[in-house]
Amino acid sequence: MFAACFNSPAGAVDRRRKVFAACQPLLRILIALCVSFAASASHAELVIENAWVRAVPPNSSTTAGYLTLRNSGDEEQVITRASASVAGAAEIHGWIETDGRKKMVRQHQVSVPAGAEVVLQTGGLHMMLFRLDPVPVAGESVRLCVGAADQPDVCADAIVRMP
Amino acid sequence: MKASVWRPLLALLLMLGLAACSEPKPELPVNTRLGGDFVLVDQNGLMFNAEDLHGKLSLMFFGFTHCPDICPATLARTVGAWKALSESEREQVNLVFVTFDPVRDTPQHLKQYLNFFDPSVIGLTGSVDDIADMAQRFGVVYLQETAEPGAEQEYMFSHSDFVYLLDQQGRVRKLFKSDFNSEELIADVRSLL
Repeated sequence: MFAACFNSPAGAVDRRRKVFAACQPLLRILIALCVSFAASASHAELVIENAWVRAVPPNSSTTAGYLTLRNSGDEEQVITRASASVAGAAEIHGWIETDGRKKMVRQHQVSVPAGAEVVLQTGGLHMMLFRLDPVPVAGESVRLCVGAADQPDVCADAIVRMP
Repeated sequence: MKASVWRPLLALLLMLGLAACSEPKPELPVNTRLGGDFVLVDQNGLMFNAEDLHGKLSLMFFGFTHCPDICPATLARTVGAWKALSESEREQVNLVFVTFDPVRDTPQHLKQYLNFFDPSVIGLTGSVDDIADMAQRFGVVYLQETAEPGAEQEYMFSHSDFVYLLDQQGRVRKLFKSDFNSEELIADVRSLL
């Protein structure tokens, strides 16, 4: 097929058209492959490491996920969404302390600078998992995902364990 | 000065030094500003007051069960420190969790929730006013916070997060930050047994 595409005789316009038409499906596949490769390369710049989920009582509707976001790329990645395989919804929250009280505050965006990492951990930034169904049990694995705008999700398997 | 004079002097200094090293840790002071009576309901639906804790030490923590991060982490850490004690020591120490979310944390809910950490954890709930009264006595600050529109939970609580060590008379002897050092807590518990 490659021979048919690139070794067409010069001069015969209609023949070229026929050859071009014959090559179109292959060109589409090549373009799709290139786009896909470019997307996965960019996607690979952000990775999740050391992911785990807190084991909670069976009547809990919420738990928390912890992980490290590592950005090995040259551009800042801004996380705008989160999800988890066992949760109806997931959000990233942080803590602020005022007047002796600690308060959780939803983070609509979490920036991971180029070449840097952001750690989600107890008492700091963490992923809140809501509407657990089922409530994960210690030893099980939960799929945690985050995503930057206009980027595919980045996911990792997180072990469920006691704190 | 002759060596015969130096030797007894050195021996005396050494003895004094050893005595200073082995001096027991000062007793934990009684915090007279915090603590006091309360009447709440335990996880079995029974009335529970301050005197029900007397006769044992108590490790007490205030929180709410819909809190996914600091509350379960602190509960687990406290129960973990308690489990590091010997069996006879554990029998002399109460574990107490007080909720400030009585609407969601009913006795039944508390019982199932706390069983996960250890069945011996005492869960206390009650009326909004009774909990507020107790919290005030113990210097616990908390505030119900309405969530932003579209948030998953209607409300959360912002709150202080100390673990209280009470003695056998229910007096507050020490407050620990939620990320306390377990060895320090265990040593303080043992100092009061």
